[in-house]
Amino acid sequence: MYTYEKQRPVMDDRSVAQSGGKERYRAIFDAVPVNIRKMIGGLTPKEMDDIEEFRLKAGAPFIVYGRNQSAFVTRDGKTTLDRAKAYTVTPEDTEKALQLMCDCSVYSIMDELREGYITIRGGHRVGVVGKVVTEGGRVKTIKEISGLNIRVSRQVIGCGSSLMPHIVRGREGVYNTLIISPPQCGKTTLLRDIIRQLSDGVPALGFFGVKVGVVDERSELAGCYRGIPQNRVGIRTDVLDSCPKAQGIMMLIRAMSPAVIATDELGREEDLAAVREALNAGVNIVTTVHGWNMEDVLRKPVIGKLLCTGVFERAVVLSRRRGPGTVEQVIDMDNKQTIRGNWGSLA
Amino acid sequence: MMIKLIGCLIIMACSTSGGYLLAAGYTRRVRELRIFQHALQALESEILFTSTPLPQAVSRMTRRLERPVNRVFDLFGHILEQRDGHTADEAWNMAIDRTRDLLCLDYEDIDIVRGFGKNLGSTDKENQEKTFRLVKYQLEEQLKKAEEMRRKNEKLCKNLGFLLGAALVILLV
Repeated sequence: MYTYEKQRPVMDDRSVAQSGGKERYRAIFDAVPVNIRKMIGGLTPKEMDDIEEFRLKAGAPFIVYGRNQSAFVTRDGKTTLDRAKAYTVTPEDTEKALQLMCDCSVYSIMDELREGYITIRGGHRVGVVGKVVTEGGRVKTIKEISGLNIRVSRQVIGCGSSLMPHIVRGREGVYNTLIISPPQCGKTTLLRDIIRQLSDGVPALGFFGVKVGVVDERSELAGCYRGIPQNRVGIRTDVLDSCPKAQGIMMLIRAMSPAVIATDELGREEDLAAVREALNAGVNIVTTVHGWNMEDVLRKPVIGKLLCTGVFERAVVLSRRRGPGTVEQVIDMDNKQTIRGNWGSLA
Repeated sequence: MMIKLIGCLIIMACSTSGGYLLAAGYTRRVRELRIFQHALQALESEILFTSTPLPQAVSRMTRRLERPVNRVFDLFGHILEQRDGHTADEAWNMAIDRTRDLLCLDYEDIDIVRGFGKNLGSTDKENQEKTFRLVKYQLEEQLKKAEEMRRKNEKLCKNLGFLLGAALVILLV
């Protein structure tokens, strides 16, 4: 068992931490009004690195979440547990923040706003609530924005390194891999780094790097901002941003001739057909699914069926036992053996 | 005698050119209002048809604009690109405050132009279109007034300048 929390040396974390973390969180600073910038600026680099969410809700205190804890933020940028000292967010703050997030161009993000979230520079995602305007039963827009949740996107470059030997086969081969993980255990972060390494190549393994197609339905993997990936997803990676998975897989096969297709959270009936199509076309699949362990996933209707057909050659099970990204097991699905981990083999 | 003649000529030249300058103000106002109209038209199509984000849209259309109105939009785009935490409305007002001395517009014109920033970029396309339509209509009205003013006053100013000079010369001689 090992976690990638401990081994994150490759990223420029350290140098950024020295510069007060400001550059790294630039996009988040730019996304909020000046008064709130000051508060965020007052947080310590350590706090900044732990924060997963900044929550701005009109009429409620400014709250930050991270590492399963929450805290209020005071007017001068200190974290506190005392409700009375917290800064209370005004409706102007949220309204203004929304405008700043989209470069004062709300009209240009209407499609995203309809989905309830927008992606800002840096690949951070912002959840938006407010008054929803519907037309013909469909969400038309959200107005009178009352709450924003800025979810900090963190790439952990190199977090997939220890898994790569189990995923690549020779110079150019890739095993069909399924990452099984409960929510908040870092499966998207892990998948993103695996994509990057497959695409850039892994010199240590003599793996040259292959064309990777990514269907990024929820803009989480590549974190595209105006079409350009904000996260490092590799030099041979083509990203279809906010595209439905099943359609996206078909489009990539036809258009970009990928060797590997990666998507997050497979689970719908139509995804199944698309994955089969990809495998028929000789394309390998790397994907993730919500689940606690192999037994749990086998019970799921769609992905269970897919697993039974022996499509996947490798499975990786994550947990949060030693922090996000704890690898519990790596399973060789061909002979149902656990390659690593001590959680017992697949029954 | 020679000196007197030169003095007279100087007086005449000054007052006449003063009159022409005054008259030119009316022409410039009309011209600037027209440029503003074109600018809004250009910005509107960037926003409505291509959904270009405001900073890019502004910098793209500013290149095609004539002076002195281009200075307003230039500054506006610049402020937006700084990402200093100003909304489009604030940035627009700042841009106008800093450039209004270059413009020949009167208070009413400036008010209308200012009002344009109010909803800019903060709503969906439908409402953006409404904002543009309103401001373009208001500018059209101002333009009519400005034309009227020019027609009435341009000749008057020019003639008055000349005549004032002449009167002064006669009095002094």
